[in-house]
This record gives sequence, C-alpha cells and structure tokens, in this order.
Amino acid sequence: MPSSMWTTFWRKGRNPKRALAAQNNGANREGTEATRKCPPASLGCTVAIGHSHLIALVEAQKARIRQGQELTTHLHTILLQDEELQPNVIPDGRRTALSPALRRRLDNELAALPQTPPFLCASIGGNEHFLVGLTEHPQPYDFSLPGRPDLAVRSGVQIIAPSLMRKTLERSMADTTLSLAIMTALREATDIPIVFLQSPPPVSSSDFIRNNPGPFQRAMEENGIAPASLRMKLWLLQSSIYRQHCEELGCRYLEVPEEAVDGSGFLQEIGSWHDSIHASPWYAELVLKQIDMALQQSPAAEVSR
Amino acid sequence: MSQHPYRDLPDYHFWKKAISEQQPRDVDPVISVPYRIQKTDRIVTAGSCFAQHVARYLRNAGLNFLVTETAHPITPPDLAGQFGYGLFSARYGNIYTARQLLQLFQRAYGQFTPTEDYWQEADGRYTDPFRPRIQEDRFQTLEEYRADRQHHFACVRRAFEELDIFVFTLGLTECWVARDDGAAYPICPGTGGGEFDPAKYEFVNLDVPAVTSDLEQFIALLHSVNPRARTILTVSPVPLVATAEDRHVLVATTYSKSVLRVAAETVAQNCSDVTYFPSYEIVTGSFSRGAYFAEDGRTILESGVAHVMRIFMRHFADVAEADIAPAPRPAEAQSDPHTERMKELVAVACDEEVLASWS
Repeated sequence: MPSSMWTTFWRKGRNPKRALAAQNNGANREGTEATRKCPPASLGCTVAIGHSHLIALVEAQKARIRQGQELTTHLHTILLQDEELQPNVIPDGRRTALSPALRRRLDNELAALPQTPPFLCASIGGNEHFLVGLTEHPQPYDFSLPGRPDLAVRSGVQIIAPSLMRKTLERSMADTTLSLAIMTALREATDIPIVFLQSPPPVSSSDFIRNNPGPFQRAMEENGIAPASLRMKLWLLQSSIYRQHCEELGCRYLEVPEEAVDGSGFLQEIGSWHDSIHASPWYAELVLKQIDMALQQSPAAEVSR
Repeated sequence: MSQHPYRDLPDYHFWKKAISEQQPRDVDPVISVPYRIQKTDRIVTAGSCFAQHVARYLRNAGLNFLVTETAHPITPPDLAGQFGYGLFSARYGNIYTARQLLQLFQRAYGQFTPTEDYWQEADGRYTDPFRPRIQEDRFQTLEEYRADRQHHFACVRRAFEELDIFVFTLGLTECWVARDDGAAYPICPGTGGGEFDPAKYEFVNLDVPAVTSDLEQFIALLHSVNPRARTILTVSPVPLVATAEDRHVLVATTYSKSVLRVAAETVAQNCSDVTYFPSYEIVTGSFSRGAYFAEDGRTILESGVAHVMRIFMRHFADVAEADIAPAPRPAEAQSDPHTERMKELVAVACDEEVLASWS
C-alpha cells in the first residue's frame, strides 16, 4: 500500500492524539463556519486539499475572519496529513486511486458546498526540493539548469547531469512523498477542474534561513546552508516537474504571486515562515487573492455532482 | 599397445570426455589459473557490453569491485546506472577496442590530447566524442563538459593506480578513427553524436599485430603506474551489430573475434601478469547448441553469462555457486543518509506547521 513520507512520519508516533483531535475539531469548526457563511449563489466557495503549504492559506483565511473582512473566498480544507485519511492513495490495478477515506471526505466537503465549485484548489507536496537542497550536502554538488545560465554552477563540487537531477527529484516526488500519484488520483476522482498551487520559492538570504531554522538548526550547523543559486535551481526544477504533470492532467498550475518575489524570483523574506520552508500568511493572502480572482473569473460550474 | 603423445593425456584434451560426455552446464574449459583473487583484491573492469555483465557478477559475488567514479549519493542507484555510473569502475562507458583502452590511459595521463575535443550538437549541447552515450542530455555547457571530463580522468587514474586485478573484455577490431591524429572513437561519428565527415574520419579494422601492440603498450603503461597490476583478458562472445567491411556480418564477426582471440593469446604468452579467460569459448562453444543466445542470435542470455561467471568464480575466487547472483544486493538500494535525515526534518517542519495552526 503506498505510504508517503508524511504518512510514514505520522505513523512513527509524531502525531499526538491531542493534535489529531484538535485538527479534526478545528477542521470541522472551520468548515462549518465557512459553509454557514457561504451565500447560496456564491461562486467563491470551494474545497482546498493539500499538505502543509495549505496551512498558510488557512491562516490567511482565519485572519480575514478575525479582521471582519467580507469573505469573497471560502476554502473548505482537507489536510492530507490527517491520520484518518491515511493512506491518501491506494493501488487500484495498475493505477493509484484516492483511498476510500479520502474519497469520502472529499465527497462530504463537496456536498456541504451550496453548489459545485468552478474548481478545486490543491497544494500537494512542494517541499521535495528542500530534501536535497536546503542545507548543504556533506558531499557538495551542483547542476546546471537548462535555460538558466545566470544561475551559476559551482566549481570544485560534484556536478550532476541536469536530466539525472530532474529524474532524481521526480523520483522523490513520485515515490517518497507520492505527490505526483496523489495529484493523478485526485484528478481521476472528480470531473471538477483542479487548480494546483505552486509551492513558494526559497528566500535568497542564508542569514534569514539561519535565523529561522525551524527543526533544521543542527543540520545547518553541521553542513551549512546550500547556496541560493542551488536552492533556486532545485525549486525551479521541482516546479517544472509539477507544471508538466499538471499539463499532463489537464489542470491549471497557479504560479506564485508576482508581488511575493524579488527581482530574481526569490521569495521576499516577509513571505517566509519561521522554518524557512513554509510561507507566511502574508504570502498566503496574496495567493488567496489569486484564488479570489480565479473564482470570480470562472464561469459557473456546469459539472453536476 | 604403442606409445603416442595422446596416450596418457588428461581427459580435458579429448572432445569426447571434455565435451560430449558432459552436461552442457558442466563444461569447464579452464584447466588452471596462476593465482586466486582474494576478497581484498581490488578489481577494475572495462571493455565491451559483455564486460558489464562481468562487473555485475563480480560485485554481487562480494568481491572487491573497485568503483572510483561514483554517482552522487542523492541519485537513486538505478537512475545512476542509466548515466553510466557503476557499470564499470569508472564512467568510461563501453570500451570496444584495445586502441580505445590504450588511448583512454594516455588521455587520462595527459599523454595524448585528441584534436577533436568535443562535438557540439545542433541544439548547442556538447558531446564527449569518447563517451557519446554517457548521458542522454549531453552537456549543457563546455565548462560543464570539461569539468566532468577532468573528474572522470582523475577517477580513471585512481582506478588504474589502485587496482590489483584488471579484467578487460575485448569486443571489436573495427573502429573509426580521426584521420589527423588517430583518435579512436567507440562508435562511428554521426551515429550517437557528432556528424560524420569522411574527410575527418576513417574506418580501421585492427589486425592481430595492431591489437597485440595496443594491448602490450597498455600493459606496460599500466605497470608504470601500478607494478602490482595483474590483467585478465577475455573476448566478448557478442557478434558484431554491423560491419563496415564489404562482407557479410557473420564473416566479419568471425574475423574480428579471431583476431581478438589470437591477440589475447599472444599477449598472455608474452606478459607474465596477463591471463586469458575463455568467456568466448564458453558462450559460443557448440556444446551449448546456441542455447546461450537469444532469438536474435546476438544477445547473450543470462544463462550464458551465469555459466561464464560460474567458471570464473570457481577458478579465480572462493565463491560458492549459490553466492553467484546477477541481481543487485539489497545494500545497493540503500538511500542517502543525508537525504533520509532531511526527509525526517522536513516532515517535522510540516508537522509543526500543522500543529501550530490547528492546536
């Protein structure tokens, strides 16, 4: 049975019952509140499904509620790390399908909406590039990214062929985190269009990362932080793989908001969270605005439940 | 009864006893070997595609298969293999001719610098003329190519200097060389990179003196950097995929393999540290009635490779038959410890992100 990196981790007992209970209560509470506030004819209401990058969106939505803003977008969230949803996907012949639990949760959330949404939001995986490129590897490496000669390749380190690097990252996204399989299974589970969100890019400053180490402090102290150009190349490569997969699935890939990045494409520091791998609510608010706009521009859904 | 030279010879001298009365899988044409390979002996392999099988079995039998040019640990072993890592001791790809082997040594030690440094392809990328298929997307920039080649040469030098046993499988006599400096290419320019130009390249079919000379020069050079090196020569049983001679490919194959076989024998007789091992005979011998070839009559089946390596291990190493396996050992599939640690830490970070939000 497929088991992603996240599932494996949670099964190691790092998911305390209190967290699960809080999560379920929180999800239900949030979902009910959002559902209650959905006007019957509103198009700004949809299901958002994903891993940890979804949290920033939830936080941004909470902030809107706290600030008394008139909500234009109501996200009903499904967190894929929820223990009740493990495993997220199961083998189905030669394919991979959503697990019955996840399928049921998705159907329930959709049923709670006043009408079929124009699209679902999904934020699947997105941190695979950090596995090989947040901290420096004990055996430093680099690679050239086709089309980006401006992103320098270091000398004196092992050079990995670009296509080997791509296949390595792709393998991680397919087999380690199961991200690509989850995307495919989600696509096949519903006729509703799906918008997959690009994960936030890395910040440029090593000092910022050092000052916001999250659980990586010791690894950073031991190995140092990977150079910004390598981190950027890995994120771009990862995005390229996700973008291609979206194209194959016939889904839209929503790129990061332009206002969130600097002139070189790195995430502005205000957009990064305390662990340097997740985005802040500031960043998520920009993404929510993208979703607002997409929802408002979407034609009324013609898909029947 | 009259005396004659055959009267008291051992069984292996006689076809009936050595072949006809044996089960095909029990045929063993090796009489003796001059030494046994110890588990600590570092073995380096090179040669044609059949040599890849040899390397695979040596490694899986627990012998000390020396690999000096390794893929970065973050790359999965099976993917790295597709990029030429681990197939041989260094990432030189298939070395089909003795001329290529000699020139690899000379290039790695700066004794020969071919005029043709690289091939630039139509898409702007660069191909190593001497390793044209080493990576599918070639090299993005000249700097990347040269850095990789510099690293490759360092790994080749290390392999030659650290080895105890060098196993070389001779594959071909036919090759294409540069007209201006004689640089020998593994495949015809234009077939896997570069562009064929008859004014720049010419066809050469190496004869016995040429192959013998190339091998003996190489052995001498190898001894100059590693006096303890011992060499085992074999001849690949894989027929030619094509011939550039105006003759039938079957006839060309017989000629080519005959030259290689005679050259290997000559070198083994002339050089005390060189031994011939009969891979060619084990696979192509009539006793197997062609059973070691696939339907195309060219591809060697695993059963043929297994027979060769069973005999090799029996004589050269103390490896039980049960330990001779073609499949990789599980240890090879182990992942990179650093990446594993980062997986755990990223999962922690993602978990904390969730807990912070929901609790």
